Order: sequence, then structure tokens, then C-alpha cells
Amino acid sequence: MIEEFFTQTTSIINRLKSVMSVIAIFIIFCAFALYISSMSTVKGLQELKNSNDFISLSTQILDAVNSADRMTDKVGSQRDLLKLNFAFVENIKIARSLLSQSAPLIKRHPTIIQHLSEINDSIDKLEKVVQYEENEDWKANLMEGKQHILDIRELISKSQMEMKEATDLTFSTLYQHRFKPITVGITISVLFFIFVMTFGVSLSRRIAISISHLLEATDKVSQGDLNYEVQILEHDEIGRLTNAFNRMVYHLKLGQDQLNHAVDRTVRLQGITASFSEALTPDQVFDVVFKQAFESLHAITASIILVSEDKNFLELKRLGGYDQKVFDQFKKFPIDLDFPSTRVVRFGQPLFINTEDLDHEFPDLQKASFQFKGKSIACLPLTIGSEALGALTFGFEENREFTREEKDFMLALTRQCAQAIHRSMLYDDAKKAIEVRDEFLSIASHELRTPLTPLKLQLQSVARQIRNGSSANLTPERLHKLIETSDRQINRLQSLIDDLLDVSRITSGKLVLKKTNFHLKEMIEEVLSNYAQPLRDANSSVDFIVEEDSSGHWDKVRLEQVVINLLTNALKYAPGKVIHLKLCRKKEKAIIEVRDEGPGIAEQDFERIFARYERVVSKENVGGLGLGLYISKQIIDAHRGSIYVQSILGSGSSFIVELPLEKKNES
Amino acid sequence: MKGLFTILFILFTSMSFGEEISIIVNEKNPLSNISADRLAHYYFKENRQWPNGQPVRFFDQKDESEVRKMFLDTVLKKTSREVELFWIGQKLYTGNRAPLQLGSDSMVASMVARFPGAVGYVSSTFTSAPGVKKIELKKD
Repeated sequence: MIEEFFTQTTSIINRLKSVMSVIAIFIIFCAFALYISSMSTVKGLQELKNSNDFISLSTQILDAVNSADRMTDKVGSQRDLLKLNFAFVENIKIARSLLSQSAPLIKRHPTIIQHLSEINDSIDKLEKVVQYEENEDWKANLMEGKQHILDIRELISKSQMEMKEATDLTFSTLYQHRFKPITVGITISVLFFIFVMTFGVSLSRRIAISISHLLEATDKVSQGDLNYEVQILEHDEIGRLTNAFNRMVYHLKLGQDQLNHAVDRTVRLQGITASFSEALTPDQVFDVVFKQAFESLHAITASIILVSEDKNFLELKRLGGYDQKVFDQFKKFPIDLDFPSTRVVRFGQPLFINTEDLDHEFPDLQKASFQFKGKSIACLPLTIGSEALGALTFGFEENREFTREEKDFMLALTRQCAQAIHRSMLYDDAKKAIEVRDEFLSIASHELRTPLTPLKLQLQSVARQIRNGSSANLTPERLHKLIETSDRQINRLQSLIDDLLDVSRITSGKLVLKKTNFHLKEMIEEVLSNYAQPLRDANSSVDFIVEEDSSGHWDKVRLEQVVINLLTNALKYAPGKVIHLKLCRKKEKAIIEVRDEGPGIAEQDFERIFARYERVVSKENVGGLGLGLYISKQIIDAHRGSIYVQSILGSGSSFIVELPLEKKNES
Repeated sequence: MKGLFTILFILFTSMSFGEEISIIVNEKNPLSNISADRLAHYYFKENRQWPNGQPVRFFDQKDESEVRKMFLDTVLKKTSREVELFWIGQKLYTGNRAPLQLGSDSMVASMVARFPGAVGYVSSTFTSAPGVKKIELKKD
């Protein structure tokens, strides 16, 4: 549009052209003026020549007439007259022809023209007189002829005089105006000079002004004033240059604005990063996200949805801009539903959409009878590496296209948020791990200490009796019992330490299975016989049912450990009650089931109890390190089997071990 | 003394002959008299037209004739030499020429008869001729 002003691409050249043409016209005009002024001189000269010619011609006429006149003087008789007639007539003829020659020379002199015509008349009359023959009065004729000749002479003289006067006048005029061409030339030169100076100065001045404006502008721009706009004076090349300069400054300004914007955004992102880095828990992270969403992005709604632990559900963690009812409705929903958030989580791509398009894009939304607020929605995936953590959703009041900057900002925010959430989760885990470890340490120290105390007491009492000399009290039965007790305590300590060692082995991945072929029934019977004492101590019994025995290639010692662990647990939680042990087979799996009649386990604890340092009930109630189930699970996992629990609170619980039946050679 | 005699002689001859001049014009000329002054103007070509517009043509007589002497005395009141000098001057400055000088009264009369605007002088003894008429010369 600005470009339309500059359709005249070479206006300076055009202007120069017009100047040149004006100068050319001026020169032509000057030449014409000079020609006109010299024309009058030329005409005067022409006239002078004409009059000169006329005078010489008329002098010749006069000669002819005079010679005719002289002839008449010589005439004495009529005979003479006849004799001379021929010469006389010849003279008259000459005069007449001269007269006709001189006629064109005197066009500008009416009186002379009149004279000439009179002369002509007189010559006519003269001829008549001469032709008059056979007349007695020839003398009178002669006289009349003389009279006519006289008239002619007179007229010629007068004509010559007038001509002379006219010539004098012409000459004096010529003389007077002899400097006229020079004057005209000088005047024209002066005019030309003034014209060229005025035009040139004005032209160069305009250009100079434009250029000085430009220079001023460059100064201002170099000092940082990007709002300065140079005024365009002429729509010529300088004008184009000025316009280009203005545009350049404009784009510079735009660039600077963008830069400022980018800096702003960076600062904002840095702020967000700082806020996120201070946010340790997920809740703090959510606070930061919501603050940014409402303050920086001017969103009217915001939601944070995270993938549940089992990856099958999405959990709405935080919702802004909607009722509590909505929050309750979507607190947890399957990931299979086709919602914007689920789609974003599944594909890991951001989604920017108008709410008008939502219904036909996402029919599930309509089914859930949920209506988004606002006109446009931005749904962004929270990802760490390739793992989807969840999604952020922002709703905006106006229907609009998001600029690249806004999208970038939102994505950056999302990235930061994902990292922060991830971090907070790790933080949570770490915190929990530390708590668990601390708890474990206290339990472990307590557990390790428990057998040590009676051991120490017994040893001290034996030592005291020996010192007091009352060693007689130490009967072999008593000593035997003492040693037996101590041995039990030491065994307990050993088993505790073995457990710890196992845990460290498992953690460091050093659990090695020594597999042999054996029958499960034999193995369990051995365990039961070894475990008779503790059962007796706990006043419990084991109801062992073998539905179908299985043999396989397993680590016998480790599986014994698993069975002992399960029995110990049963004894621990249901002392004095029957423990049901069942051996069976299902498809290609050997199954060992240990069922107690204890208090049972809540469903939400089914997973937890197999973790390290965990126990079914709180630590105050039951002793132990809480490692038994963990170690068992690790052993079974190493055998590619599975262990799980089935329980109803208050009606006991059964631990089921499934082992794949694999047979292998000793090698 | 000799001069005095000459003057006396001239006076005598003029008186004794008692010759006078008559002015003749073409018969078509309506004029019946003319003043000497006007006649002199016509002679010297100071006025070249009759009152009716006809161009004036004056016919003079030869220097040596008595009539001319009379004419010079009575009308022009100049000597023959003065008149000659006058015409030389006129020839140079105006181109005017002296009127044609004729040899006799009869020639004058015949020329006057030929030119409508002609005027001439003859001796008073000259009897009239065809085509001309005498007009009275008014004296001041």
C-alpha cells in the first residue's frame, strides 16, 4: 500500500529529464528570439539592397530618357525625326523594361509606385507622340514629347529622392539597433542562468533536506529511539529510501519488541522454574501451575490429571473454575474413555481446540454430559521422557487461535510442571523410603536385642553361680536346658541376620538359586518335622493336606525358607489356631497354600505386605523385621512363580504360592 | 553714368515698345483670371494643381525672348539668372525641373491646346489660337 506512492520509480531522473527538456525548449526559444531580432536586420539589409538596385535601375532609365531627350534636341526637320525614330523608340523600350524590372523593388513605397505608374503613363503618351506621322505640326509633337520626357525625369528624380530618404531611414534604424542581437543574447543568457540556478538549487535543496532528515533519523535511531519516523517529502528515490528506512526501523522495533517479549517470557519461565524448584510436594507444584494458569495465561479453568499407579485410570488431582460436583464426578476415570485429557495422555501430543468442536470430536464427553467452560481449550501432556504422567487442561474465555509463543509458553510450563511432579514423586518416595528405613532400623535393633537380653541374663547367672562357688546348682539337666534356650536365642539371632543378609543379597541382585530336583511333599514334611518345636511352643498344629504332589527343579533350601516364613507368619498372627497347609496342582503349576485363622488382611494391603519392611499390622503388636514376605516373594519371583494373598477381614487369610513345573537335569 | 544710361535705355525700350504679356490656358480650364502670385507659384512648381485638380503644366519661353523678360519682370519679379539658379537648386533637392522652354508664342499656344492643365504666356499682341483661351492676369 505504501508502495503505491512510489510508482514513479525514477522520479529524479524524470525530473532531470523534464529539466533538460525545459532547457531545450528554452534554448529553442532563445534561438528563435535571436533569429527574430536578426531578422529585422536582415530585412533592413535586403531593403537597402533593393533600394540600391532601384536607384541604379532608375538611373539607367534616366540615362535612356536623357539620351532620347538629347535626340529630340538634334531634330531640325521632320525628316530627322523619322530618321531618329527607331533609336528613340529603342530607348523608350529600354526605359520600359527597366521600369518593369524595378517594379518589384518598391513594393513597400506606395508613392514611388504611384510615380512609376505615372511614368508609365507618360511613356505611353510619349510613344503615341512619336508614332504620330504625317503631321504638319511635328514640332509641337516633339515639344509634347519633350514635355513627357520632362515629366518622366522629374518623377524619376523624385522617386530616387524618396527612395534615398527611405534608405537613410532604414540605415539609421539598422545603425540604431546594431547592438540588439547582443543585448538579446545577453538577456537570454542571464534569464537562463537565473532559471537554471533557481531550479537546480530548489531541486538539490529538496534532496538535501530529505537526506538531512534521514541523517537526523539515523542519529536518533542509533540513540535507541525506534519510534522516530522520517517524514517523506517527495515520492522519489529519496522518498523510497526514507520509506525503506522507516520500514527497517519499524521491523527493528518489532524485533526488539519480540526480543523484549522473549526476555519477559524467559524471566517468567525462570520465575516458574524457581517456584517449581521450591515446590517439593505435588500439592505445592499444583499451586504453582494454577497460579501461572490464572495469572499469566489468563485461563478461566484449569485442571491437573495424573495417571494412576496401575496406569489404567486417570485421577483428577486439582480442578479450578468448576464445581466440587464436577471434581467428584471425574475424580477417577478410565483411560480408555475418549476425553481430550485421555487422548493427550495416550498420544503425548498437545491438543488445542474450540469447545464448539469438542462434542463431535469427543462423543464420550457428550455421554458423560460434561460441558467445558469457555470457548477454547488447551490440553497438554505431562511427560517425562516417554512416560506419560498425566495432562494439564486450561480453558480460555475467548475463542481464539493460540500464537506460537503462547503454545511454546504453555508447553514449557507443562514440561516444568511434569518435571516438578516427577521430582515431587521421587521426593515423596525418598521420604517414605527414609521413614521406612528409620523404622526398620529401630525395629531391627529392637529385634536383634530381644534374644540377646535373655541370653545375656542366663550367661550372667551361670557366671555368678560359678563365682559364688554354688556351681553345684548347675545340674546337667539345668545346664542342658540353659544351653537349649541359649541355642534357640542364637538361632533366632542367626535367622534375623540371615534375613538381613538375604535382603542385602536380593537388593544387590546376588540371590543365586541352587536348583535340584525334589518332591514338594517330602520337602514340606521335612520342614514340618523341623518346625514341630515352635508349633508346640505356640500351641498350634498344622493340618497338612496333599491333593497332588509335584516334583520340580527348584532351590530346595529357598523354598523351605518360604514355607517356614509363611508358617511363622501364621503362627505370629494366629497363635493357638490350626494352620491349614495344602499342596495341589493346577495345570502346569504346583500350588502351596498356607491358610491361617487369624484376623485377616484388608484388601488394600494385599500388595503392600509383600514390600520390604512392611507388615500386616502395626509394629507395636507383632515382632519381626517385616522381611519374611518380601524375601519369600523375591524367591518365588526368582523361580518365575507367583505369591499372593486371599483374605477376608476377620476370617483369616491364605497365602498361595504358585510354582511353574519345570524339570531340568542336575546340570 | 553708363549704368544710368543702361537703366534709362531699358526703361525706354520697355516703355517705348509697351509690350505686355497675356496668360493663356487650355480652353477646358474654367478659370478666367489668375493672380501673378499664384502664377509664380505654378511656375516654380510650388503648387502643381489647379483648383479643379488638373495637374499644372507650365510652358516657358526661350531666355532671349522679350516676352520672357516681361514675364520675369512682371510676374516672377526675378532675373533670368536667379530663375536658372533656382532650378539648379530644385533639380538637386526636389527633383523638380524647369518648365519646358518653347521657341514662339504659337508653339506655346499649340502646346497649351494639347495639355488640359497647361498654362503659358504670350505677348499680348498674339491673337488667340484654337483650343486656348486668354485669362486675365490680376496685378497686385
